[in-house]
Amino acid sequence: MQQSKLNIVPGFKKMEPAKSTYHKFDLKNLWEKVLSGDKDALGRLFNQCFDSLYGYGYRITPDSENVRDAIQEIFFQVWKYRKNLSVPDSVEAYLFISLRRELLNKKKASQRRDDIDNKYYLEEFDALISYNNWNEILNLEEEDSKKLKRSIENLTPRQREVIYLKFYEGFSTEELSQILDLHAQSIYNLVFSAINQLRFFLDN
Amino acid sequence: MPNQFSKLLMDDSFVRFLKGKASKEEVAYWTDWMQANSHNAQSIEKGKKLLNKGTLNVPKPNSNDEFNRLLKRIESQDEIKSIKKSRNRSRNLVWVTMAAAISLLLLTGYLARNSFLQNSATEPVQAVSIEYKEFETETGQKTTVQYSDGSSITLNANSKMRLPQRMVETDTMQVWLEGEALFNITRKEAPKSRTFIVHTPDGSISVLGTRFSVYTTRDQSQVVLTEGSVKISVQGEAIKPGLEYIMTPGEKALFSQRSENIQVEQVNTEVYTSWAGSNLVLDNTPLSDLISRIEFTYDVEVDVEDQTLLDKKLTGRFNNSDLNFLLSGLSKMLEADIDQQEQTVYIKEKTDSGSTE
Repeated sequence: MQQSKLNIVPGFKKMEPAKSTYHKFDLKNLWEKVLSGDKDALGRLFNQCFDSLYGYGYRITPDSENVRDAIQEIFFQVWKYRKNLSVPDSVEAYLFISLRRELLNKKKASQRRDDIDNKYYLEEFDALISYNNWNEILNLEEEDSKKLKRSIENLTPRQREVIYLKFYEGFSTEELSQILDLHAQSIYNLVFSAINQLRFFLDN
Repeated sequence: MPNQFSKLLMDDSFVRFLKGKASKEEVAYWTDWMQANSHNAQSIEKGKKLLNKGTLNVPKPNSNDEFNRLLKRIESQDEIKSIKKSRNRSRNLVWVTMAAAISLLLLTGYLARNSFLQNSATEPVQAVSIEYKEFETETGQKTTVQYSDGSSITLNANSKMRLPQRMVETDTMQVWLEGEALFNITRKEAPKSRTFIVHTPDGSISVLGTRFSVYTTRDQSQVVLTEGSVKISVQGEAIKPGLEYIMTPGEKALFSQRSENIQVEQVNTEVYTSWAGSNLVLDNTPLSDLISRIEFTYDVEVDVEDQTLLDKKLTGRFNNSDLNFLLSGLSKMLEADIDQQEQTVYIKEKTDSGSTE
């Protein structure tokens, strides 16, 4: 339906995502085993996803303790409710959605608790860009590299989040729309506006 | 300029290729594309670098250690479960003992119960710690708590509620309910407005001022709204999104921790709130609903011989105070024999008078 509009690079033919890339296939397989009560599979799923979940969680809430607990909580609940769960289209996206929700719920709760000590903003996201590497890869002069930093800081938290998830976790538009709870078209617009603001540096 | 790098980055398939997540077909396509000219090849190289080295590495805890921590939690949970199972019986006993204790308290407080909550005018207005009281009603018993601002809460039989001793001037007032209660909450105008919250095992109902009834069973909570507006919230968990619904008068809403949504339908609210008065109102109410109300209120078991009767719709008005009276009315309505033996009520087909059996 909208799909052809989304993969919008002119002149490119539309292509289906990989049906059985190594990683997606493995995760679904593991997921099924977990649902049937296999604790070893839970361990393998945990180990495979931990690093990327942690990296994402830390960018939402830069508090290691909190992120570790949130990841525990998700897998604990998956295990606890395994009899009622189905196999999601994308296991990875499902885990990212859950982590995001868990961390945002906690943020909300802690905000209510101490409104004065407003450390976190609910919608904050630090993509933790390596500016040095961007400068080098994009071949930027010193003047431009300062501008790049400012441009990224000027993106909204959502824009930074969608860029991070798309470029650094490689999620598709469809998965992003699940994780961020937005329509596919809104994801497309969000990515487009973010990239547009960085176009000067990217196309340099 | 053809195929700007920024435009390429918009393409999911391009990104998948750079991240090594592409399908065979995609790999073939992008490899061809890359070999078409040096500009394309540069784009691929630039993209690969940017997408694999563009962010800082966060120092990560060891995932094996983390998983072991999770395993411990899962195992301790398993132990708690098996303890719970074996203790379920004694837990019921605890409730009975508690109920007895509370009844004693109630007995002493019984005469004062309509007035003891009205002394809030003398209460200093500040951040006070709110004292709570627990009420528990027995079979056939109803209790009404009247607050000084005109709000009242009626607790139906076999129900349990924790509620503030006094109406304190805070911006939220909370009660916890298991069972059935009718709420009549006086709305306070700003700046004194406050939110009244009913917590049930399934979620919470928050209101500004209104009339509604809440009924919780083992599996779910039911809210029927007569006046005003209330918001139902079911807290989400990590793997399940939270739910919210704002009710309008005349609606009945059902929700539980496990359900995926809040079910809403239009009803005759009198049917669900009349128990608080002296009449029980039925309006096209299936016998099965009436039976669950009878079982709940009078702590009896109702045994229906002819199961098809359960779907029969009843309309009428009963005196609610006495079970015998209610049953004799029901017997006429259903044209069935109703007979009570100890804690069981039997509903059977009418035996022809005169014939022997």
